[in-house]
Amino acid sequence: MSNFPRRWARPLAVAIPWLLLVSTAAGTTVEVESVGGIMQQPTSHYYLASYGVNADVATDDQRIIGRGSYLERPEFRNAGYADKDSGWFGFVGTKITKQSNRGLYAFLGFGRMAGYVKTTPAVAAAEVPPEKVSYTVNGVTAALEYAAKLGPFSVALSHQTFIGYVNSEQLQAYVAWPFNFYTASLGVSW
Amino acid sequence: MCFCGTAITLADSTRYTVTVQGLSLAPNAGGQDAYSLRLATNDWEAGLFSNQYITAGNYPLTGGTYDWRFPICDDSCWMQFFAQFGGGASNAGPIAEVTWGSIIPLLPLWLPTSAPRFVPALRVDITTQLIFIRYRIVTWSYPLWAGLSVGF
Repeated sequence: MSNFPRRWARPLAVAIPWLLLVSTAAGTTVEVESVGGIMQQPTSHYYLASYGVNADVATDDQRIIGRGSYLERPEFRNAGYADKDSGWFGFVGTKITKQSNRGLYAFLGFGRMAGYVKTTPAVAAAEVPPEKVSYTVNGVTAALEYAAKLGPFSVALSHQTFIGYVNSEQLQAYVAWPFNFYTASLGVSW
Repeated sequence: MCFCGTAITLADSTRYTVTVQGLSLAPNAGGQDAYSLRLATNDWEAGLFSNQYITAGNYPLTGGTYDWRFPICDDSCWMQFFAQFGGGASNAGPIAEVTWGSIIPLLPLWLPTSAPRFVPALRVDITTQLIFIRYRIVTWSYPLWAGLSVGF
């Protein structure tokens, strides 16, 4: 996950021991999931490979679930350019079906998508100034997931939509930037 | 109410909601004119839609869907929140659909009671449709698809 910001290392160094501490509290469960799948950018009908990680803190009955999520797609290089997207999301969710070891989960939250397009050294070397164009959009996100549990392990399929908001001028013109993610995940909980 | 000579009474526990939608945001100026007419209970929703922004052949993408609804707060709550998924058919091919929906009464107050009947409510959906076209699956998003709902 080469694009994971280094400035998050210290907050994570604080958060991870706290997660471990919460996990020992009565009535709570902590789960970490490895995520992989495909994503779609706004206005594009191509599907791009993506991967990431989820960290959940939930009540034992899974009526309330807090989730932090990170997803990115690998940098794609072609014709002298390279581009990449990544996203960070925070969700609140709940289990909405009643079976004990499997079921449907719904999540709603906020997040940020960011990405860039830049010239690669081969192009830069041809007397073209190095160039990088970046974007960042914040917005709401919703996810629906079907998960099955076997002991401490879980497997899940998920669909997530992120709606990017740029500014009020675009919103007044009814413009928003949707990203879609179709992922599978493997998790372990304690 | 009679239909085909058989009297049908609406039980107190069976509530229906009719929804009409007209506009969704989109990654282009002006959004997308996407119309729908839907009938729902707490367990399912069936509807027709027509998206004037994208076409199948020379005609707007038009079809019908049936979704299973999974309420987070159903019509026993003042504001309703639900997830639903399902599918149907369109003039472009079969469709699968995932929706996050909310129904918020258009009243300047909140009450700890069930959703009011016969009062217009704001319906806002986040919907994704997967359209199965020949050899590919097209994902189409309706970020914040807005409309009005009335329960009865």
